[in-house]
Amino acid sequence: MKFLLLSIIVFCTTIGLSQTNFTLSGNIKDSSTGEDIIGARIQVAEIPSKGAITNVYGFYSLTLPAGTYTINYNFIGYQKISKKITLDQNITKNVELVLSTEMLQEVEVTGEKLGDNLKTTEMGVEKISVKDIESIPVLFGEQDIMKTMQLLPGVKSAGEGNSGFYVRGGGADQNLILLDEAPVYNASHLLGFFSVFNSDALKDVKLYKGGAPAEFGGRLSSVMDIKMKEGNSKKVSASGGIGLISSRLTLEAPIVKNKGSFILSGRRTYVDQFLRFSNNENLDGAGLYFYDFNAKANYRISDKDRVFVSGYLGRDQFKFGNQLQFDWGNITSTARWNHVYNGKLFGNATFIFSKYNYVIGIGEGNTKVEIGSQIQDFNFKKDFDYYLNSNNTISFGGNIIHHTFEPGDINIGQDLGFTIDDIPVKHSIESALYVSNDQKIGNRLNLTYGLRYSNFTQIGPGETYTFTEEGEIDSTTYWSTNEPVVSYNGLSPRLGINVVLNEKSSLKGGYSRTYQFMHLISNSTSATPTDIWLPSSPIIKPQIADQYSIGYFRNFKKNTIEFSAEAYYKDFQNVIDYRDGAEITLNPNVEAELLFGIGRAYGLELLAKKKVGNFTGWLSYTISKTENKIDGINKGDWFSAKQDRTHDISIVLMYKLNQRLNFSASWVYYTGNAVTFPSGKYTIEGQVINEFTERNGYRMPDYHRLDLGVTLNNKKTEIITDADNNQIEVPKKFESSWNFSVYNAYGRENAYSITFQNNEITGQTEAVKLALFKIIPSITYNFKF
Amino acid sequence: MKHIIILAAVLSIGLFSCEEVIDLPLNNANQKIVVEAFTSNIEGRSYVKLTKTSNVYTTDNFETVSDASVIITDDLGNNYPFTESTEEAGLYLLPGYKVEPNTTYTIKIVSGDTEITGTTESSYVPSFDFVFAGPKGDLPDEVKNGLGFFPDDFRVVFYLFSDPVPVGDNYRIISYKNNKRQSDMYIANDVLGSGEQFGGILFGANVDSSDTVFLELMTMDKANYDYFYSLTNNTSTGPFAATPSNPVSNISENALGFFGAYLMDTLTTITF
Repeated sequence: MKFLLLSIIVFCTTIGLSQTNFTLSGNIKDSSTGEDIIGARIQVAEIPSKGAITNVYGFYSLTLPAGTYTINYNFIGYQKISKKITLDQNITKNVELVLSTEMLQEVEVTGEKLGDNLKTTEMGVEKISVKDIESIPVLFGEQDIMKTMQLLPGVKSAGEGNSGFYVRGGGADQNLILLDEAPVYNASHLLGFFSVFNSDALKDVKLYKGGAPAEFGGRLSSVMDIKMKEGNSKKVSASGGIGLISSRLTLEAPIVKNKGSFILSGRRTYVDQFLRFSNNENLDGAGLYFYDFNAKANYRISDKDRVFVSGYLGRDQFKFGNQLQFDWGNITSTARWNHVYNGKLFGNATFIFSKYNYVIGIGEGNTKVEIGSQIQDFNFKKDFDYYLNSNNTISFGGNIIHHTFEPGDINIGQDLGFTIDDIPVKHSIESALYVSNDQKIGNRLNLTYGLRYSNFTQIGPGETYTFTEEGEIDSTTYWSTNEPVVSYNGLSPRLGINVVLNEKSSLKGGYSRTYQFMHLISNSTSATPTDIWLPSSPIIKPQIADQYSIGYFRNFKKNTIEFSAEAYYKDFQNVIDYRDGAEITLNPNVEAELLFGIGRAYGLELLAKKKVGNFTGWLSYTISKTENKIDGINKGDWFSAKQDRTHDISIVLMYKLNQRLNFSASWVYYTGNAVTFPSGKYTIEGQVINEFTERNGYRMPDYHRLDLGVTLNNKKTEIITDADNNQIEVPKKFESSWNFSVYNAYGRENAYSITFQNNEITGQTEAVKLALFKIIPSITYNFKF
Repeated sequence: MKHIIILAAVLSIGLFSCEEVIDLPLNNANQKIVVEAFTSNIEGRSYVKLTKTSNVYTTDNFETVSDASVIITDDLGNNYPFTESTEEAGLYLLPGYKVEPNTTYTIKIVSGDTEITGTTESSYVPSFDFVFAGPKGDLPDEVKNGLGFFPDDFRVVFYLFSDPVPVGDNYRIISYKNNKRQSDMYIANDVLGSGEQFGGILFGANVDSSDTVFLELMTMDKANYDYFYSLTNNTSTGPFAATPSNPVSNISENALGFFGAYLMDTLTTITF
């Protein structure tokens, strides 16, 4: 740790220069929508080694010696713009890039643009732009960014049709899922079949599988950073779609042209309309549906100040007449202020609110019983980017979060004549400070190094327990408001190194340590709405992971084909598991049901990707192993974690036949999950009971599936007669497309579950496989105007 | 609550799913003795049944264990030997045996070279406050209103009993319909709602007019509660279920099963 701190200081001091330098900074936007462009490249023609990349707000800063330069502004899919700039003072230059009409094809393919993967220290990072995934076939035709992510190496699906995912051997709860910086605590709808993210409202998604920037913390395995669109600041536009499962509608408009804009986007399913499963009057109104609502507005107060407000509201509702209601969902909101202090210092102040809750209601009126649970965060963040010079970009900042955990909120109708106490609420404060630097040393070496210090303190009011070996409460301690119950500190160093070997290849390495102070209590594979989060406490220690990774990156054919091989090793401490037969729902003593141990995960990920041309796609393969060792499980021996998958292959192909017709196909194959099956049986009170000998000692059958899709774009231009009576072709105001897809095209009956039951005729026990989806065709109509 | 979730999942995907018998090789665990030691304060309602485990892919005819020595000892050192029934192999009985409140019992079973032990504690004798079997609409208002989920003419078995204030009581109800034991497992503890009146309907009771309903309400120690609670988790599968596991047993590790000393209240009623 000391070494790193010291090295930051050393690096900072060795770069003092005597020459007069000036800073060129500004914003880069899309000319048609006014959306900020993230990751646009700014290059100096005269000094090819100097350059900058826009941050997530489209801001860039480049410090150069005084002089006259040709500055090239580039972003893939956009026309390049060159500007002559005389740098004799600090200059602000805002640029709007024009979308290339033919998207990727007519863009001048330059090595610099496509070869970025070789130049940054980023490894274990997957980026998906929402545009890229439009044509990938998905279940029920519902575009889902989280399912597309599962097609990338090192990212594994939590199961058939499931939006949950595992990253490099980490649990599903070890992914920090951020929507405009607000954590989303339960990112799935309809029991995991859909994610809460409506692709229409999203702009860009970045998944860090390891070595996340020091800005992020709080989860062990990954950061999924999702940014919502800002809305069109040039003109009013609308888009939407009608699908098998849901319909979507999005509106975008300027608030003041070029100064501010907003976007509103909604989605609702109609599954409830299909579920008319009873004629019984008492059950009228039975149904199951979900909806999402995204909104965002931004306004540029001055050249230096910009404010953003964004929010998400989504709920699932399950109703069974008036007698049983079950609903759950997330609310997040983010208010942010961007400020450009000067050409070199960019700052961000953010206030974030996030809440997830579920409520189960039985009965009505004064005899209603309601059981619920929630987690709620208030979060304040301050981040700075300091563009020290063209070789060093320093990020630093801090944040403080107040968490409230309500594991069980029980309300008994007053006419029922009894009461049940709530399960005690828990509060905690999570805070962090970080600093990191992106540094270029010569043309061949890039470094990112940083340090994050975090503290997690559980505070009163509340009570904590100690337990006997049998899991009964031994003693209770009561805490007053704001009294610290227990406090944990964590120092997380992050290091990334990139050595550019030559024009075509580079070698990268990284190390990071992460801490996780809050834990999802769930012993099922799939996310369920009743899963609860608990803070670290005197009993639950923070989970810690150390990840070491190395990677080799090689580009072929003028950088149009990227290949990478990354290997990782991860060490986990304080991994959580459950006692046999643990009672985790509405149990105030749930901490007594937990067991703790260690884990390890290692693997190799290979990816080949073709990014341009009519024919695009990727091929990914992962071989990996994930094991846990926990006292009290499997006799204390190592066992395969449920997210352990030996082989995982995905192939995604997209072919653009012509302007109107796109084809796509994806094929996945993976080793079945590690599961526990019986090795014997016996009888108790006349019932047959299974005998288990080892944890996760068996495998589900291998999973594979082919999905196919076709997108038919209706004509984008029309012929009109102009004033001189000439026939001319102009772009249509209204664009639309049809998307047809087939999920599981060859009807593979993949095992969803396996049960052991008696054959009614022979009396023999046999293994029965349940397969969920055979061939699922779907159709979606999308429009935009 | 898991059941609601599963119900929802099944409803939403029922259209698409399909089932198939598959060939799945399983290991064969070493054969073990299974102990079912059920003792109570009701004369004639105590027995110890000894069977053996078998491989999974067989019929459900389990071997019994004969000629074992089965002795229960209370905390005063009194020995109660159970002897094998002449009518049913593997069933050990002791006529006149009764469990006393607040007593610790140990069991020792010797079969060949195998010695199996277990310990349990008895609690207090509970009693029903109220039991009703009949149309829901005939229940008192304050109870009926909480059961709006069911139509008025739906026949339910409803019970009430009172829990004493200190936390730590565990309950089980066994129900019989027309002298036939029902397999549903009803267990509760007072971790939430200690000192309150406990009540509810027996889900799945499925009674008709004039059915005879016989109920046993019993208290047990936490080890037995954990055993029966974890027993329900034994056969679960699928993404929404916890990893299945062996029930948490209070019998020595060389065997499977449970040993319980139950204190019970019984009640018979005829369904309206």
